[in-house]
Amino acid sequence: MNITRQTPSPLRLLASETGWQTRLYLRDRAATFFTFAFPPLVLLFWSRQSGPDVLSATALVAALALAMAAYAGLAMGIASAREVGLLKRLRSTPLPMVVHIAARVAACALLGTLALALTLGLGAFGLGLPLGLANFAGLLPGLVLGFAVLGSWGLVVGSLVRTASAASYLVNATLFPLFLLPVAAQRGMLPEWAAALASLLPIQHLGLLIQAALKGDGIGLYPLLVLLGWAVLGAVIAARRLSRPL
Amino acid sequence: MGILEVSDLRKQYGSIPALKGISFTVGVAERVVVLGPNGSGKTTTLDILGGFLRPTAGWARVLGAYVPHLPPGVRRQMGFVFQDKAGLYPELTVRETLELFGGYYPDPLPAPELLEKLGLADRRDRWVRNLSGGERRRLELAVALLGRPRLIFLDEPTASLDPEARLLIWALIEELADRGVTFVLTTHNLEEARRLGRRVLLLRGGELIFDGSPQTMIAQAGLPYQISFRRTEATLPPALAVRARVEGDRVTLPSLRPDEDLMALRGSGVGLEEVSIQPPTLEEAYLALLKGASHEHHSPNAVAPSLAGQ
Repeated sequence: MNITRQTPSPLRLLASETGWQTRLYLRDRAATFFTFAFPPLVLLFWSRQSGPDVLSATALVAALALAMAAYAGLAMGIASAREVGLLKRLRSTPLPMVVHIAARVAACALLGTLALALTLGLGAFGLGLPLGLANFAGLLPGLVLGFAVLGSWGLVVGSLVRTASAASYLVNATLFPLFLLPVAAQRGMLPEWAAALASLLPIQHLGLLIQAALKGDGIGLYPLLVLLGWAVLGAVIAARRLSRPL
Repeated sequence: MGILEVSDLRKQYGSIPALKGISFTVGVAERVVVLGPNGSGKTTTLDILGGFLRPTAGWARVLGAYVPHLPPGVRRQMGFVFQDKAGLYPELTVRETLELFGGYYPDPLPAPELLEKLGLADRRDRWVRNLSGGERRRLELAVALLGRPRLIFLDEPTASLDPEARLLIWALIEELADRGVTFVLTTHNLEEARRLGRRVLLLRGGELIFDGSPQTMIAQAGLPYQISFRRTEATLPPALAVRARVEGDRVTLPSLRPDEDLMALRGSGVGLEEVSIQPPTLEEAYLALLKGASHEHHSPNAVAPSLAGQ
């Protein structure tokens, strides 16, 4: 055995593992469909219903696209890896688990950003939204914070449940209310207390940040603070969960 | 210092004790087989030694590092084959699987060499999800060997495999052992234990009830040899006749001291032809020791109670 050679550096491992995780994500047909095809379909359907308010519809669906990769992708990916014994296999190798998790996060960030860009592209080229490069630059704070919220809570869910099907149920049970409740509140379909509760949910605020960036408006402090609060809470819980053996 | 050191290791699942304080040391290049019925603590032991489970009490050191915190430098010298879940990506091909896992090691074995050795060369571009159970098991073994491990844990590596795949895996494990790789293997297959093991650890109900060679295990079980012969003339001495099973001219005589009994037979003038002496099998010894352990612990000089007075 050659013991003089060093184990590959963590950075090199991270880059390589991110590449593999991206490839694996794209080979999962369901994950690819719900990340890249489902949000544009929702947007096309919704834009027919929402008439002139294409901007807010595009912004909210772009947030959904990010959530599909960051929240659903991470939660189901980790739960599924645990279910088939992959996490145990990885723990038997020299690959530090933190590098593997970071690679999953990086792959989901990359794919989520692509899905978001695809949705915005549909808004611009398909639905006539006036978008320029300046709009995309303004997206950065929302994108970073939004991914921090969705990704950290995706890690929490992935570390909580034991199977991919349980993760799927939990993601569906949380993601769609997160997405639909603000819409229902905007349309006055919720009682006052539920509308107040819905106003604290993160996807709506991510949608607002994206909307502001697309309009070229300044970034609102309140949506940023709400997202920051969710991100910190998610990161703390995820860190606690992930410090135990997965 | 052993490559593996285990001291008073205990594991409790809620109120259920899975390991009740086992201790042993494994040296370099040892071939260790862990035997025991379901629920005896075999997989729990391996999971603790792999750093996947935290012991409730006691300690274990693997390649000098205390579990469960095994650093990457130690992990790269270890290989694992797990019992039930393969832990492979179904969306990768066989070749990609070796490429991915090989990337974690500083000097991985060349994939083509491994695939050839494990009879998977013509499956290199097949999706893992489309492999048969035996092929997947061989791929797991290939992944376990990628990093050129010094120590390999195999948890029932040939369970539910066809005889051809089982023989291939046995041959590979023997080859590894011949090259000085230490292995710890759990199995329910006593033929596998007899063929591969030079040392047996027998667990029952979370306790280590035997630690020694297969030959010692057979001897310690205190089971009789079977002396078989064809009788040509005269009658058996009364002391032996009470134990003998006679079918026509064929006699089978259970004996704890076959040499003495044969001398007694010859001395009594019994004509003996086609004499054979069969030692007890490892399977018989395994069952006897497990049965005996439910009453008492075995000491090295213990003899099966039912035969002790003969």
